Amino acid sequence: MERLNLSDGKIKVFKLKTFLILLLFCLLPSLALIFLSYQIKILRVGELLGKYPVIFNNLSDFNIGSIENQIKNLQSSFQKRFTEISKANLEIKKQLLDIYKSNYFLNYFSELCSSIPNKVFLKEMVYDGTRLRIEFYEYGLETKVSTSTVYERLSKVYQNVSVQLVEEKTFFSNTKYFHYVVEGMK
Amino acid sequence: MGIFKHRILVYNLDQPENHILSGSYFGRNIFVKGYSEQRLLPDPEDIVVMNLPFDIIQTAFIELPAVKNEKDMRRIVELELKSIADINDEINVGYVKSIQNKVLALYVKRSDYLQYKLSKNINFEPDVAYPNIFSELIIVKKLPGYWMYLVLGRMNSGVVVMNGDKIIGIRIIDFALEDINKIVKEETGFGISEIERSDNEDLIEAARKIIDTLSPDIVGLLERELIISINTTEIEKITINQIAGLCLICDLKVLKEAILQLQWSFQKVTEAITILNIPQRLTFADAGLLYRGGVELGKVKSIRW
Repeated sequence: MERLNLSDGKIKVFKLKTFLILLLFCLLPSLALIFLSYQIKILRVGELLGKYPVIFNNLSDFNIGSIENQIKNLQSSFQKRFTEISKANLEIKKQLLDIYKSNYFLNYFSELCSSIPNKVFLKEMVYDGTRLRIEFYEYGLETKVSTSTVYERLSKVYQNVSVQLVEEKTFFSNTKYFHYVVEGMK
Repeated sequence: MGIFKHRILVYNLDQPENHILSGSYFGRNIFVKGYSEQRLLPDPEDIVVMNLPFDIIQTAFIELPAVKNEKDMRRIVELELKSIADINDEINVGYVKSIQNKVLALYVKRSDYLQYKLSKNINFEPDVAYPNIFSELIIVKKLPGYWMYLVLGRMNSGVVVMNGDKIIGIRIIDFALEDINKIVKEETGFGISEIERSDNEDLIEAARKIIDTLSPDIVGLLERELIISINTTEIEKITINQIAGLCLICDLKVLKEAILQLQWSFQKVTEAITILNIPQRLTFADAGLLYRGGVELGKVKSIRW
């Protein structure tokens, strides 16, 4: 009964205003989606820029097709620079160690002499770049040189270290002299 | 008018003066704006509802195959009608579902329809043209069982026999409220609806007296028609004992009260209950036409003034 209608049948029409409003309503979701995706894109680009500023500073062309090649080139060039720098670093380290090793025995010997109350007479100190030999006498009532300490300190830097008390003789009344020989390899 | 808000215009052409009711449909509610004083021309986007008097409408019960599509159904009804009633003219067809795969087809010849529109000075096509008795019946709650609905309209009256919400018989009665209105007007100088609206006790009393003297005759006439319509139901034969009751649909309060007080041969005679609350100032026909306009747009939950 509710659907009963005896009219000729009117053709339903829209006014232009209504049609335009309806059209806007239909387009609104897609427009919103486009805007949203654009915003997300900007956000992501911003994130990437923040994360990898070096890469973006070195990109010359922002064409999507060429970006990958550019990044590969950049990566290989950075890799090359990295190996160069690490090589140089290693060399400098080696050199520094070399210098340190060539001076260490001098420093240590002078430290040893100043740290004990007995007089020390250096007979011979030879260093040819690889081999090290120190021969000295200590004068005193008893020896103050501890062979184990000397061995420990020198073996940190040199190899095949040997510290020997070659002879011990009474020099005058109860004063004695102790003859030491220290050897090592760089 | 808008996307969410639509204007509904009701052209109830039974009324003598310009009687155009306008309302707006918004969110399943109809807000009544009121009757317009001037002749209101509809906007192309408005929903226009017009009433059709029953004297140009013809009815027939037709048996149809079960077709689901609404459009096909209408076409089939039209073809069946043309073959049964031997009509050669163009007709406008509507139908109401009845029992046992049958429909009550209502049709109006297009020439009659156009002539009616012309006589009422309507030169636009309405969205809905709705027949008179149905305009009152549409907003009345259909009660379960066999019930008779007696519609007393301004120009046409009718009896509809229904089983639940299915129509099994319809009969138009030669009785118009306008005639009674005229008698009262001659005696008191005012029409019944005017008297009812005025709340003047003396006038109401005078009108009541006139109607009380007329009502036994009216009831006698109506009862005769009711019994005829029970005995002439086409698709299902029923007896008066099967009828659960009579539902009276009448706009005039004084007349309704007078009729309800009298002794009827039916077990139960009641006032009609509407499916939604309608404002007091609206007649059943106007509210029904407004409701029908709202149905074009969607569901209608309420009509508010």
